[in-house]
Amino acid sequence: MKQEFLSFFPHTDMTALGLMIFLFIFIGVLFWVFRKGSSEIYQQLSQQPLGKSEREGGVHE
Amino acid sequence: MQKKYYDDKIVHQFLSATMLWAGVAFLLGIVIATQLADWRFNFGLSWLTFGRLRPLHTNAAIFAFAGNAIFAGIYYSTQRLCKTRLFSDLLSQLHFWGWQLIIVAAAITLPLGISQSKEYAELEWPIDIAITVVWVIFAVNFFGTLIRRKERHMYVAIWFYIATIVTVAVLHIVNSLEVPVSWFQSYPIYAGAQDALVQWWYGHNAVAFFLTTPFLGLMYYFLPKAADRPVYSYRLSIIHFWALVFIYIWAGPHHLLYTALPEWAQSVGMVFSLMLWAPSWGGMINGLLTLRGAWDKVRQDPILKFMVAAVTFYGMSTFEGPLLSIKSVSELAHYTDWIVGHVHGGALGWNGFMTFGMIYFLVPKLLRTNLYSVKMATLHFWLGFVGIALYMISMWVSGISQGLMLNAVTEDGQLAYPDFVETVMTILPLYWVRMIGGLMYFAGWILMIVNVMKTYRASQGVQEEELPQMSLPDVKDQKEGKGHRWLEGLPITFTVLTTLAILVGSVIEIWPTFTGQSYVDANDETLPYTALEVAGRDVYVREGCYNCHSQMIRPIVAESLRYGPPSTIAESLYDRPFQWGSKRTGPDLARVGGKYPDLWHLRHMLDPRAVTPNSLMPKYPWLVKKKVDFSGLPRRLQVMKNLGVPYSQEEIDRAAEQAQADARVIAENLQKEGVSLKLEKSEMVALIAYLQRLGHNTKKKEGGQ
Repeated sequence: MKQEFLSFFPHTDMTALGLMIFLFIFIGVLFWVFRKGSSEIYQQLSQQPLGKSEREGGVHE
Repeated sequence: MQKKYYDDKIVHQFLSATMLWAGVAFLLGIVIATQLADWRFNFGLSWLTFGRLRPLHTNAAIFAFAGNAIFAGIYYSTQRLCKTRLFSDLLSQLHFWGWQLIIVAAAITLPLGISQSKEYAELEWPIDIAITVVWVIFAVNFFGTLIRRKERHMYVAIWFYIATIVTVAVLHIVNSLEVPVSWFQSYPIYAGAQDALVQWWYGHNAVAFFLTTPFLGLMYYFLPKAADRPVYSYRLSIIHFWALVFIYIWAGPHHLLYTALPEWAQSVGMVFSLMLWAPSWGGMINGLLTLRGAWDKVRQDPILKFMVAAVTFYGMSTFEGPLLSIKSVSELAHYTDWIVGHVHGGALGWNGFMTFGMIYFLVPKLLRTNLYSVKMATLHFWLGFVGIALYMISMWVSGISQGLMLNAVTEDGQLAYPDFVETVMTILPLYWVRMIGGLMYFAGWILMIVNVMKTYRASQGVQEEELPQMSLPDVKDQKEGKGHRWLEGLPITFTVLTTLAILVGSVIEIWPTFTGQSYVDANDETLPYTALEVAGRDVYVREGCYNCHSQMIRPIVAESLRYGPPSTIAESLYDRPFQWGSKRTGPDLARVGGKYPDLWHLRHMLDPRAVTPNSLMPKYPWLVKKKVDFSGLPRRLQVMKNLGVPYSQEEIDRAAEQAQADARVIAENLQKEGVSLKLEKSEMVALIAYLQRLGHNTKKKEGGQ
C-alpha cells in the first residue's frame, strides 16, 4: 500500500505538458539556428576569439 | 589618445592561485587515498582522519582548484571577447582576496570538524554568507564588463559563463538555507528526504554548473585559440547550450535511486540523465572536430594534447554518468568505488587537463615569452594521463567487484559474503594502485610548477596587453536581424531566459517534497531524538561518518538480508541534516541500533580491529576525553522545535539534565561490565546513544494497523 502511494504521481497532465514544452523548445531551437541568413552571422561570430591583435608569446621549441 | 589595457594582473593572480591550490587538493587526495589503503595513516589525530579530510579534499579540488581556474579563464576571455577592460579593478581584487579567504576558512574549519555534512556544501553558515557576497561581487564585475563591451555580439562562451553565474547563485542560496545554533553550527531548514533531494539537486548541479558549463565556455574560447581555427559548428554550440541548461537541472535524483525518495522523482532523475547523453556528446564532438585538419599539431603541442584529452574525458564521463543513472546499473554501482572512479575521470581528466592546457596557453601569453620547456609539459601530460588511467581502472575493478560481492545471494537465500570486511579485503590492493595513480598526477603538477617558475624567471613579468582602439559599432551597421539581437545579443534578456530554463526544472522537482508529510505512512509516528541522541548525532556529523557509512537501506534482496527492511521516509523525517550518505566504505548503519551491545561500540570506537579484524576504520580515542556540551543542548532542541520537530517546552528546558541522566545510565552499565574509563560526560556515550537509536525512529500510531 505504502509503496503504491509513494510511487503515485497524481499530475499526469503535468507530465504531458512538460513533454510538450521540452519538445517544442527543442524543435524551436533547431528551426532558429537554421533560419535564413544565420550562416553569415554564425560564421562571423565563430571568428570572435581569433582576433589578429593578439600579442606574442607561446609554446615553441 | 590615452592607451588603455586589459586587466591581466587579475588573470595572473587567479592563475597563480589555481596552481597553488591544485597542489594542495592533489596532495590531500593522496593522503586520503593512503588512509583508505592503510588506516594507520590517520595518525590517531582527530583533524587528520579521513572523515574530516575527505570534505577538505573535495572542496579544495572543486572550489579552490577548479574555482580559481574558472575565474582566471573567464576574466581573460571575457575582456577579449568584449574588447574592454574588466568593469572594476576594485571588485576584481575583492573577488580574488574574498575567494582566497573563503578557501583558507575552509582549510581551517573542515579539519576541526565544523561541517554541515552536506557534500560539497559542508562549510558552515558564516562562510556560506561570505560565498554569497563574493559571488555577487563576481556577478556585478562580470555583467558590468558585458554592459561596457565594444562588441555587439556575445560569443557562445559568454553564454556558458552567464548560465554558470546565475545557476550557482540559485543553487548555493537554496541549498544553504539553515538556522544557526552557534557561530560554528547550524541545522538546515530541510529535513530527511527533502534535505536529500535539495542536497543532490545542488550536488549534481554543482558538477553541472561549476565543473561543466564554465569549462565548456573555456573550451569554446581556448580550444579554437590553441588550434587557431574557429569552432567546428557554431550552430551545434547553441543547441548544446540550451539542451544542457534545460536538462541538467533535473538530473540530481539519480544520486538517490532506490532510496526512500518518492519513486516519481527517481524516475525523472534517471530519464533526464539519459537525455543528457545527446547534448554532452554534441559538445564533445564539436570540440574534437574543431581540430579538423589540425591533428598534426596535437603531436607537437602540449596545450592541444591536454585540451583534446580533456574533451575526450568529458565525453567519457558524460557517457558513464547516464549509464550509472540507469536504475539497474545503479543497484550495482551505487555506494561503491565505481562512482569515485567516475567523478575522478571528470575531475582529473576534464577539469584538470582543461585547466593545465589553459595554464600552458596563458602563462607565456601573459609573460610575453616562450614556455621554458615543451618537453617537460609533454611529460606532464603523459604522467597525468597514465595516472588517471590507473585511478579509473583500479576504481572500476574495485567498485564492480565489491558491488557484485555485496549483492551476491546463494541458492539457498543466504548472503554469499556475509562479512562486509571480507569484501573490503578483496579490493584493498586496488587502493594502493589508486594511490600510485594519484602520485603520478601529482608528479605532473610538480613538473608544471617548475616549468612555469623557469618561464617566469626568464621573463620581464606580467605585461598588460593594450586594448584595441575601437568604439561600439552601431546597431544599424550590423547585418543581423532583430530576432538575433533580441534573443542572442542582449545580456539581460539572455540572462532572464537562462534563469527561467533552470528554474522550471528546479521548482517542479523540489516543490512536491515541501508537502513531504503526504509521502509518510499515516500509521507511522516518527519519534524525535532525545537530547543525548542529538548530541551524539552532532558528533557523528562532526566526525564525517557519512563519508564512509550510509544510513539508507535499499529495497534489494541482499540489503534486506544484510541490514534489514528498506528504509522509509518516516524514519528520517526529523533528520537535520539527512545522513543517507553516498558511499559505503563500511557497512550501512540505518538499523545498527540494538545490533551490538554498548560495550562493543566502545571497543570498536577505541580500536575497530579489536572487534572487526582487518577493518579500515580509524580509531577515535578523543571521543572518550571530549566532553558533551550539555548546557548547549536546550538551544539546539529549541532550533529544531522552531523548524517543526515536536519537542515540548519541558523537554527543551530539561534537555541538559535529561541528557546527563541518560548518559549516566549508559556509563554505569559499561562500568558494570568492567570498563574503568570515566565516560558519563564524554562524547563517546552520546555517540553510543545515537548509534543504538538508529533503526528505531518510528513506532506505529495508537489505533493504527
